[in-house]
Amino acid sequence: MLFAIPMLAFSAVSLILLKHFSAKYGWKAGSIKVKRGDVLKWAIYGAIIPLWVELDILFSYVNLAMTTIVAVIIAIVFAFCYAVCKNKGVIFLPIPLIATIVVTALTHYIFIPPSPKNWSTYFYIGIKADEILYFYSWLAPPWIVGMAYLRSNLKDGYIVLPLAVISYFLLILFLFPVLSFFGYEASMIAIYSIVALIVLGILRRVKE
Amino acid sequence: MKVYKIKMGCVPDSSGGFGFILMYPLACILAAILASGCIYAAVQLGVLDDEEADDEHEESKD
Repeated sequence: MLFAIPMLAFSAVSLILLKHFSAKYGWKAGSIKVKRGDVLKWAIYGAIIPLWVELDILFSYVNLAMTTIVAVIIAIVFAFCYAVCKNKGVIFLPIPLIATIVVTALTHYIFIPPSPKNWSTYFYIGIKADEILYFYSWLAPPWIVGMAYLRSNLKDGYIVLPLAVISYFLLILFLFPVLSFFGYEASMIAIYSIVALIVLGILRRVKE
Repeated sequence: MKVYKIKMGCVPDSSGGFGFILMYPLACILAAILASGCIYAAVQLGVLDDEEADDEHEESKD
């Protein structure tokens, strides 16, 4: 369970800092009007988060202390960037989006396969470079759906995200071991089609 | 079964990432619970309200 320490550190530090900024700048929770752009934005956040979860687990197996330190630094940078963007009225989304793309590309480059002679380093935490992206393609759907639903039902949608992740994992745990490669591809196409349909349905229900 | 020696110990090839895969669903569920909790707390703090408000002011007058 030690892999949870960086996640908990990130949550704690970012929430403490956001609480501080909320009191400092007088942010108030008022009426929340849901727009289609917001739902799309949260769906993109839902696509970003699993990559960070994955990298977090991955690097916590490599070096737990360093991963925790980096998670705390990222939490501080995150909260400061968010506060600056919110106070200046700048759109925040490009920052995590670009950071995610850059960090994922860097990770993929770092974990690029060495020559077959050195495959011992290739498997040193039991995951290959391209498996990062395979795991991501398995993991992303419940996050995209859950975050889009959470944005459209912000007051009572908090239970949906964990439930979506749990039910989806139960589904794929029973489904994937019996699939061939073609079955895997077909199920991925089906799953992502359903994800697109659900997000479009949420977008359609949201007015404006 | 091939076993590769590494600095953290021995990781079997064929069941590569067994520990990772065992912990992975658990970690993702934990992350989902943490994420929804963080979002709930952020909404309570008023953090998530009114982002990008400047872009939509003209439309919201109607």
